[in-house]
Amino acid sequence: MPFISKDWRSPGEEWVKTVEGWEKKKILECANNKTLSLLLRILDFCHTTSSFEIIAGFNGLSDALKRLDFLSAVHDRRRFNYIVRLLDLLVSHRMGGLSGCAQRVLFNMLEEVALEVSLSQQQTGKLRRLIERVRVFSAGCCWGGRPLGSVILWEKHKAALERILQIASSITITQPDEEQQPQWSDLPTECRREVLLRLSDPQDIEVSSEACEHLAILAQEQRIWRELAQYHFTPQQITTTRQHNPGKDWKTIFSIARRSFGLREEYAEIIQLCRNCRCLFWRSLGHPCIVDQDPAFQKKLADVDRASLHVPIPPQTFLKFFSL
Amino acid sequence: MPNIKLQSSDGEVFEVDVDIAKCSVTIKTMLEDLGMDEDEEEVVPLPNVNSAILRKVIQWATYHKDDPPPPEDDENKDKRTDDISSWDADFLKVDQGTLYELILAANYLDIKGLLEVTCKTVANMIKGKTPEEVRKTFNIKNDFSPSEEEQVRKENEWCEEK
Repeated sequence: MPFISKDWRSPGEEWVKTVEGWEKKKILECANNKTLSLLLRILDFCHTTSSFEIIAGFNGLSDALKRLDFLSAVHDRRRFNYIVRLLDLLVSHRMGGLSGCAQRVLFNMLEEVALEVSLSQQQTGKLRRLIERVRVFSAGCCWGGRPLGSVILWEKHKAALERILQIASSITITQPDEEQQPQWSDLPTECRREVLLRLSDPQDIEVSSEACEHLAILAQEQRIWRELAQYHFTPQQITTTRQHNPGKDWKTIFSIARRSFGLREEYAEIIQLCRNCRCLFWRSLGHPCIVDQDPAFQKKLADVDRASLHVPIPPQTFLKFFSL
Repeated sequence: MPNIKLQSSDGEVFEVDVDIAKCSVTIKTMLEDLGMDEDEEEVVPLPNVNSAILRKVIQWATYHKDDPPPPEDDENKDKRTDDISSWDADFLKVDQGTLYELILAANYLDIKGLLEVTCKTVANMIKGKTPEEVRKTFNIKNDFSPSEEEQVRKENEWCEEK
């Protein structure tokens, strides 16, 4: 007899026997060397990263954020930027579409980010931007004077936001000891240039140029903008832009190319997807693949290019997994 | 392994494995040009580095002695600053003065890896801040006149579009 499920297009639900009885199979968790990771079952993973079909939905995002341990990853310098970018995407456009539970996780993460920023005194601008977005969102979420959804939950969000604001407003930058030698201004120009060359965001370069005259002069240098362009764009993109805009300086070339091609995103640590077992994991924590032990899979793996097994998942794509 | 003696500006002598000392291009060239004999009891003076900093530099070089050599390419396109290893991050948990002295030493001794990681650390102190916060971080004075400040801001306006 054919199996008929509620939705006749799907192969039906999978059920797992647990201690408390049968449960629908959703997200599998597997612990391996203290690594918690998330198994997302992805139907028909194609070679192009753009065309995934996923059955992960349900209470997906909040679960994923918890299982992948985003909360404590905020305090890892290598993963901080990835998470902040993800938060930025979420609070900027997709906050309204999140479940109450996911919103709560998001507020928790934001609080961790605020704590981390206040500790490291770095990336204050990013924190301010996040907070501003959240405020705009929560201010716009009222209907007839009352917020939509659970009132209790909203009260909690409000309290969290209050705490975050308090942390943010108490951040003070400690100034270096004035007696100490050498100071930043004692560094020779070539060393200060080396520092400016490490900045990948044009806005950071501009901000430095507004800080003092010496940095302003440095930030005018062609080399700074040439190397910035070479970092963000491919040689081909640069050549085309230069051909179309002959005689323009590098700063102009950079801003034109930026408009056409967008900036490059790069993270020290990035979530990876294993195409083999459809599982998401942090690269540094290692791959918790359970199918490694499965002889059938081992056989299948024999004629697969192992290098292409793990696909890096940028924040944008990560959210797409959850239809966000 | 043959050793080499390095003398800091304040006269302290450090005995270091030649291979470790050679991660400094300055020392490497010096040894090659002068053709120093290995059994010679010669001391290399480093008048620009004091003993506290030289000790730290040697500590860094010892830890990183097995690193692959940095690419020869002069135009370094790596602009990631969040990939500092945890050992390096701990190593660089020092006050700003020491950090700058390490930059100066890395620059003088021509140790690419150390210059890289120290400059990244300083770049992280700039990232995502306002001009006022940058000034505070580095203890620098706002030396613009109000009209100059206005002009710089105008020039930078294109950057803020997102």
